[in-house]
Amino acid sequence: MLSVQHLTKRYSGIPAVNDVSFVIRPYEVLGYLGPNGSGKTTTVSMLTGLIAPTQGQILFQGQDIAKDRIGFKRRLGYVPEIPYIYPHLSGLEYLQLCGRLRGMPEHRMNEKINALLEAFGLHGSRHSLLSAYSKGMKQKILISAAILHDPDLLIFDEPLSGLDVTSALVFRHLVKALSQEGKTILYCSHVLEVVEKVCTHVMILRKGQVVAYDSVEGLRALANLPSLEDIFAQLVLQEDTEKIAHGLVSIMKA
Amino acid sequence: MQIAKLLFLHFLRRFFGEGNMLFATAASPYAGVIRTLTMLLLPGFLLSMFLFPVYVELEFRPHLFEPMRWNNKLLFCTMSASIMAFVTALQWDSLFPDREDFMILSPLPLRRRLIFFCKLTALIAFASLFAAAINIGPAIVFPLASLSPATPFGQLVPYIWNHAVSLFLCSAFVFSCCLAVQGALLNLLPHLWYRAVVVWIQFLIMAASATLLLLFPLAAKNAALGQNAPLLHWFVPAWFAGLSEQWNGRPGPIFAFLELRAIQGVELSIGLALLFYTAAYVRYLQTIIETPHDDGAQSALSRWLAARIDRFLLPVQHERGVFHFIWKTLLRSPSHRLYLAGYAGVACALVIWELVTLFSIHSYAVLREPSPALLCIPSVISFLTLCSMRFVFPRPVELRANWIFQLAENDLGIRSMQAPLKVMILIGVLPAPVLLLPVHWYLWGPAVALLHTLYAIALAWLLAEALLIGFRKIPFTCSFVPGGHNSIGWLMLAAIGFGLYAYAMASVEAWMLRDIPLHAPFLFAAIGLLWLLARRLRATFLDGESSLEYDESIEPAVRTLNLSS
Ligand SMILES: Nc1ncnc2c1ncn2[C@@H]1O[C@H](COP(=O)(O)OP(=O)(O)OP(=O)(O)O)[C@@H](O)[C@H]1O
Ligand SMILES: [Mg+2]
Repeated sequence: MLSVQHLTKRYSGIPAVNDVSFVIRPYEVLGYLGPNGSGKTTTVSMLTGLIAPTQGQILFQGQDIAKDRIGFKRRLGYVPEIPYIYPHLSGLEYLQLCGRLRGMPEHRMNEKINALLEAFGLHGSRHSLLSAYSKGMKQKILISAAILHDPDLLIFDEPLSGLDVTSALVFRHLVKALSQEGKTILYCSHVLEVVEKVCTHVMILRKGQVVAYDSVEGLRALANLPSLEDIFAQLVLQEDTEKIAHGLVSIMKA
Repeated sequence: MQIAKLLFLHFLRRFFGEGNMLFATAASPYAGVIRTLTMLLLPGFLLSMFLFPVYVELEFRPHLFEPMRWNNKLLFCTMSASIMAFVTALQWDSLFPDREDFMILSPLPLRRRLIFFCKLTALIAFASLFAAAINIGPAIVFPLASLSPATPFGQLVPYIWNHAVSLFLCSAFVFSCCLAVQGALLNLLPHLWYRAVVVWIQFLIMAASATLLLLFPLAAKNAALGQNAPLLHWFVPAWFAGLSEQWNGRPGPIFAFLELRAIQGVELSIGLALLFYTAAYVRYLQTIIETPHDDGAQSALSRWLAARIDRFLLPVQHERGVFHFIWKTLLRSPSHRLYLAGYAGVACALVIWELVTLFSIHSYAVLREPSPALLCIPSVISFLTLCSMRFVFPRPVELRANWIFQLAENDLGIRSMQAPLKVMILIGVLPAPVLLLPVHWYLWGPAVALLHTLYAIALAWLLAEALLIGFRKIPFTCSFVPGGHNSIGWLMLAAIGFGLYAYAMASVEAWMLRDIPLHAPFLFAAIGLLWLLARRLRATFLDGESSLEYDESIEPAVRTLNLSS
């Protein structure tokens, strides 16, 4: 169980994430929604320990992760928003690096990696350097690296970016299957319909503040609106999107 | 016209841009350019200044005047050629428009001919700027210093002009030779092969550049004897020094010959450079974008080797991961490879110089004697390789990708610190002594050869341990603060260390070989003790802190990775 309490991050005084609290239990998937710059990635970076929170606490299975960071990281799988990976390694080498850094036994690791590459259709290009991979291929490598060591907690930050239709569908089912295995999952995204389909709970963020947090059904019932998109529009979008688009065209023509 | 100017400036700026080796270590690119130009400017200037009193002295010994002037001209031409070659090797990848240029410029409505023209003019402007920085001191100050008292004042300007032009031609020759080689390779080789040989070419150019400087005294000695020495025919700087002498009206058939060589050389190299460069541009316009990237597949042999290394050297998984990461980065990251190639080039030049000097005095029989001059060879190589590795380890590769190391950190993190040492042993400690073993066996017999190999390995291992004391990072994963290091201090320390390690220890070894049973145990015990001490010190530094370093700056207020750019 992942429990986040009053998490706050300020960049030179300006809050990027402000007093966010939530709980994710095993078998649950929390969809973490919000427009650009609302603080999703900042939250995730605090969870992964890549940046330190200004205030608040993060508990994993009742333990403060600041106390046992290494134990926590060992059970964490993470797909970052932007695929920063070593471009001079091949896909296979990168996965081997991840597996070895996590101390997996060599033989089992290699078997797993080969199976994962096969499953993602990357086996043919496993020796190409990552610099030559397309965006979606890199994303698949990152996803493979995140699940390679069978972690208990999974954090996906915009995992679908660059994936084609089939792979996106596969990934959706993967998230479902992982949650059925009892994993704890945090899923950040803009793609509302996917969130609606795979997540059990939803949290909506705006300018670092929580504006809604409930189970998907609960939210629908509460807002009395048929789809998540309508709820999102009501809570977050305060501009007339069509008007902005027309404005853009007139700027282009000017 | 406006567009041409913009493009020209764009290309010129790219020479000084980010990721450029020459300026990479400075706090800002601008500061880097200024510093680099000053560094190129100073040696020639200072040397010319120091020559003023020398020539004042020579007024009382007029018969020495001309030999001295010839000798100095040779020195300045050598410097001009050597430094230019070095700079060009560093700039190798930006001589030709690269993938990035094409990616950015192709979608824009620009004529390809215009792009080519602007790139070429920017290249020439850049090369001229560097040639000017290297040569301006010797070109102006040296003629003033070395003006013979008998020369009428009216001849001062032609004298400066002649000397300056020959120096610039010397730089131009070297530069266009490099350009021609690159153009030819681009034309001849498939792009993937070209990428594979680049680092070797850079290595060769740097080795040649250092060899030129080191061979200067020998060439000067040959020249001073007034002989038509064969070394002079092939010692490129001598052509241009001869050109300068010939233009100044100093008689002698050798100068006429050298002048001819110089002129022909310049014409040929510039012609070839332009030809190949243009041809390569036409041919590679498209291919450079379309050819696949380098491949990471390994040959069966290297796979077999990797498996052996894993099995016997790397029992811990975490360490194994780090080891292969270091190894592949050294092999594949262009900038890191370049540093290694540079150091290896210098080592190679030192060995060539050592041998040439030895043979110029003695006959080949000297090889039969394990003298310090021969004994130091493996140490020279291992010292420079090990130092180069210690030098590149803190420089990051794709810093933002280091999150994977931070995320996978575990209690064994500290143990992975054996990985850098093991890489150093495999690349820097073992190869030189082991590869030279058969030669030494043949020359000196098994006992001496084996002892020598053992001695060289023990010393190099000790050095590797010592170099890693206080190093608490996974190589290539920590941010690097340029200019935050006392580089001059380190350079002097390294020079002293080099003298001690390579040459003094070779003399000690020669002493040991004089009475092996008596001296060897004592010497090896001493090295062993020092080795233990270094290892202890290294362990103490590692134990002091529990975590590895990923950020070099002094305790940042906010520790960010900028994962959301
Ligand atoms: N290193 C930083 N320094 C200062 N401000 C930052 C920094 N990183 C992020 N921010 C600010 O924090 C806020 C939240 O950013 P964050 O990246 O978390 O948004 P996000 O929800 O992930 O957006 P997106 O949907 O575009 O990925 C933004 O306003 C951003 O400007
Ligand atoms: Mg984000």
